[in-house]
Amino acid sequence: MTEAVNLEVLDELKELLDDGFPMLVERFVDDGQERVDKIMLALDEQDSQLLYTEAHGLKGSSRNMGAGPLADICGQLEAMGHADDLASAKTIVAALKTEFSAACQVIVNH
Amino acid sequence: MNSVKTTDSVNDVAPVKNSSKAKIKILVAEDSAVDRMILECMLKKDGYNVILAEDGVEAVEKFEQENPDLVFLDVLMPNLNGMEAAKKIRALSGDLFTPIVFLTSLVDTESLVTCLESGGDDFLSKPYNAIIIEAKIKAFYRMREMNQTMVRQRDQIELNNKHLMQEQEVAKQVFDKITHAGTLDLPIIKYYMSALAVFNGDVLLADLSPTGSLLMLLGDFTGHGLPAAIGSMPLASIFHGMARKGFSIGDIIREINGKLYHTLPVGLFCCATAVDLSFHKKRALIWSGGLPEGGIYRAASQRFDVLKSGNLPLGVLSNREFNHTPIRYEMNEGDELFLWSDGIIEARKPEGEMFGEERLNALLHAKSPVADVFGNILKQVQEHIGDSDGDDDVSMVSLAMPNENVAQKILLSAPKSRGSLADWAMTLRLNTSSLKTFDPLPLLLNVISEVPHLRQSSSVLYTVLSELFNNAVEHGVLNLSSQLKSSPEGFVEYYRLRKEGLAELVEGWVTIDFEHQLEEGADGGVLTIRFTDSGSGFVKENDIERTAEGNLHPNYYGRGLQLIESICEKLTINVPGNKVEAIFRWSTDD
Repeated sequence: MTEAVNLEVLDELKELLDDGFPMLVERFVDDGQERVDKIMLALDEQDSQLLYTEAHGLKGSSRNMGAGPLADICGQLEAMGHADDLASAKTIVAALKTEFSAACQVIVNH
Repeated sequence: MNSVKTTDSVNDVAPVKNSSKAKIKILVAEDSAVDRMILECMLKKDGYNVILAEDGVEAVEKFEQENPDLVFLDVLMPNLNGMEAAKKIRALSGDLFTPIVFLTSLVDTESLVTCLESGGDDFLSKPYNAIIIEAKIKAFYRMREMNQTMVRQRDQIELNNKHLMQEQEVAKQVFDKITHAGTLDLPIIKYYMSALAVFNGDVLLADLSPTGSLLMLLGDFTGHGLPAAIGSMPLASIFHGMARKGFSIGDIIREINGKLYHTLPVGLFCCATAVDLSFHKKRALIWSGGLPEGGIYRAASQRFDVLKSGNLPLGVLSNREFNHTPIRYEMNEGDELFLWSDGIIEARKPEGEMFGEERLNALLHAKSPVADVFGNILKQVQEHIGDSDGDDDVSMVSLAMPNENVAQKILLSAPKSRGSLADWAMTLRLNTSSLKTFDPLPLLLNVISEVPHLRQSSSVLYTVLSELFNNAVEHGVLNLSSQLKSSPEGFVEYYRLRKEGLAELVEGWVTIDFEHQLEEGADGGVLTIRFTDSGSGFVKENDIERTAEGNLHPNYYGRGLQLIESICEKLTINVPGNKVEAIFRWSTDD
């Protein structure tokens, strides 16, 4: 079973940012939520380009935060957006919401 | 849209103290606050000076304001994406190399290639790895420094080059004036010097002499470029200065040789041919050293007589070893003398083939009318060179013997002898104190060497003057007997007495008179030298002998006076012998 977030990565970040770490967490949660909202909007409006951009953005910061599974899901959505094929995007977006919550949970509690 | 605040910037990360790194300024442009904060922290922790931007437009602005050493650009950013921003930054950066590293979580090959093709130098994948980032920064900073050095050096070279061109421009104007001065525009002279020739040390000078000759010199200094041309300055000034005063071509050549020998570094010398063309004597005196043999194209026979060349170039030998005697050639009306530097033989086609002596000889022996020869050679050489704008330094000159009419016109423009000593007289009287301390010989020789044609006799005149002066001082003023000098001991005694006598001298004088006159139509002159002293005389009436030439001289006064007699046309000693007169006649008849 893969962890939602790699704790080692989180530890390193905590050490690196020190006092700035809580701010980093806040930004991740806020900006992430914003991107998740936009992804859902993109799905509603079948906007492949928006889906691609936002999924790409979230993927990057997820990777940096050690949230591997979340990044993978973003990667799938990014690819769909890029290919302009949103047929199976709905299920993945649902999974994204769940995984994002899980990741936030771990990160905030860390 | 994106609501990220700049307050997100993490400023409280303690940087590793490293002054060299703090000087490195890095621009991070990233719209995702999380990624930006992480990268900022990593870089600050490593001690770099970090500037942040949140989108492409801001990235370009910050780049202009801050001029960072290195740029990290997120690929997908709002307003202006990373690739577009990279292009603008590249354009702003100009000559200076500013490394651009794309930040991306794109992993497909196509995207990565697009990143590099749009002007990125590298990419960095998320998640970030501090060690890899540090290594990349170091590598790119090295490249940037190298590039800066290169640009600086290139600019320096450009600047130097510009200076050099300006200097050469000025130098060329000066050299053009020097090397084309004089009377090259006379109708009997045809010449061609390629633009490069002057600058490569070719020099062509011509001047009319007050003696009624046209003097010309074609020279080619060894080496290339400005250093080779430098020697033409003293050469030209000596040539013109002496030519206008009426010095002979041999004297001029000798003076130039001495000057070049003493001033030019070893290995730099001047191949030259010098000509004295006398219109009324219908002859040319030619001294040649080192240039390819020119020759005289005979108008009547259409034959080309090659000049004899046997001397080393100017500036190689000291004047003691140097032979400045020119060779005499008959020149009849219409005969044309041709001289060229080796540039004409070595003139190359674009493919590199030289013009060569064979082609030149073919033209010279083609039996064309004399007036066409110069033009024919020049035309063929230029056709041979064609479009090769290369290294041709072609110098060629011809000098034709004019008919009486033309010669008369040319000679009217010749300078008069004003500039030189011609008819003159001087008296130098040395009184007691001067006799004790002053040697008048250098002064006298100085005067003599200012007289054209007397200069070449200055060594024999030195002998005459020194004998007469010693005679006046020793036998006249001091009344010493030359019979003392018949034994070695006597010699020593003689010089002791001379020294004592001078030291104790209370009253005495020697007067030296010079009179010089040119002889009309004889191309020569007469110098009369008279020494009178305060002595009571050393000659008794019955000591005087009259020689076959009518000279009067005492028969027992050592070889000194006899030597003078052999040099001078006439030697007269009065009775009681305190006045001696020597007449020296010179002639340029050759």
